[in-house]
Amino acid sequence: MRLFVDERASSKFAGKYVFFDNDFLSEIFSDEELFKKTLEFFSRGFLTIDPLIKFEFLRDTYLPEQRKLKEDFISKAIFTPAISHNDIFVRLQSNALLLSKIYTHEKQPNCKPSFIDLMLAGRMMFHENIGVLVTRNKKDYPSCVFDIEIFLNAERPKDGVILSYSVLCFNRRKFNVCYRNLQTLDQGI
Amino acid sequence: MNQPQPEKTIDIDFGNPQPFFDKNRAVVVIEKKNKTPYPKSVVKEMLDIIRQNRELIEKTYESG
Repeated sequence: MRLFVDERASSKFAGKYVFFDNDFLSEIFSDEELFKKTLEFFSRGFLTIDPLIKFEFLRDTYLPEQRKLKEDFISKAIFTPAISHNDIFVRLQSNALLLSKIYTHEKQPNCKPSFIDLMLAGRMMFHENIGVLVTRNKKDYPSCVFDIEIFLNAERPKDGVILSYSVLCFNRRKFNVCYRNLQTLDQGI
Repeated sequence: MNQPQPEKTIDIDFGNPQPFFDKNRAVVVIEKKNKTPYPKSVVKEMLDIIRQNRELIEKTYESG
């Protein structure tokens, strides 16, 4: 699968924690060319796997041989693990709940994130300024809180379809506006 | 009575803010900082895994 991306933008991710959503992680697990190009593009960042994404990647695998391959792949040392510590989990959960309230009040009709998507959004909030997320599900990370840094476009060889992945980051300024709106609503109760 | 001894760890400055990294994996982070872009041997192993996965999918789902 060919990757189409502005390679000059690679320097934007130097020193950043690059989190992969499960859709992108599964895609690079299936395609050598996409995997190599992704490594090249994010070579100055730290590829990081959230524990919940690891869970999502490994669950529901029918073939035993593929399950073993997935376990080998995700355990390789180029992926820096985000620690699943309880103190951090509690903060991520708190972020996730707050973001879900904001999404609802900001009237994002297409935004119906799963629990894992919300927790990942909470993770991005926790690592603001230093974390980015690669995902195909942009609608689960609405523009009222998240910015798009760049798109990664990949051409699927079998049918020529272009798959577009957003590289997102949390925007504190936009969040603060939404949070103030939420507080104003709460004061009216 | 002997006190249990703490496990030996290496203190490494990850820079700021990186409190969530696992110190057991620190060597990889350090290696990555010094070498660009990633350890070739690990990348080669991962490419081999991807190839095996692709062949497995082709054999299982696409052969018929």
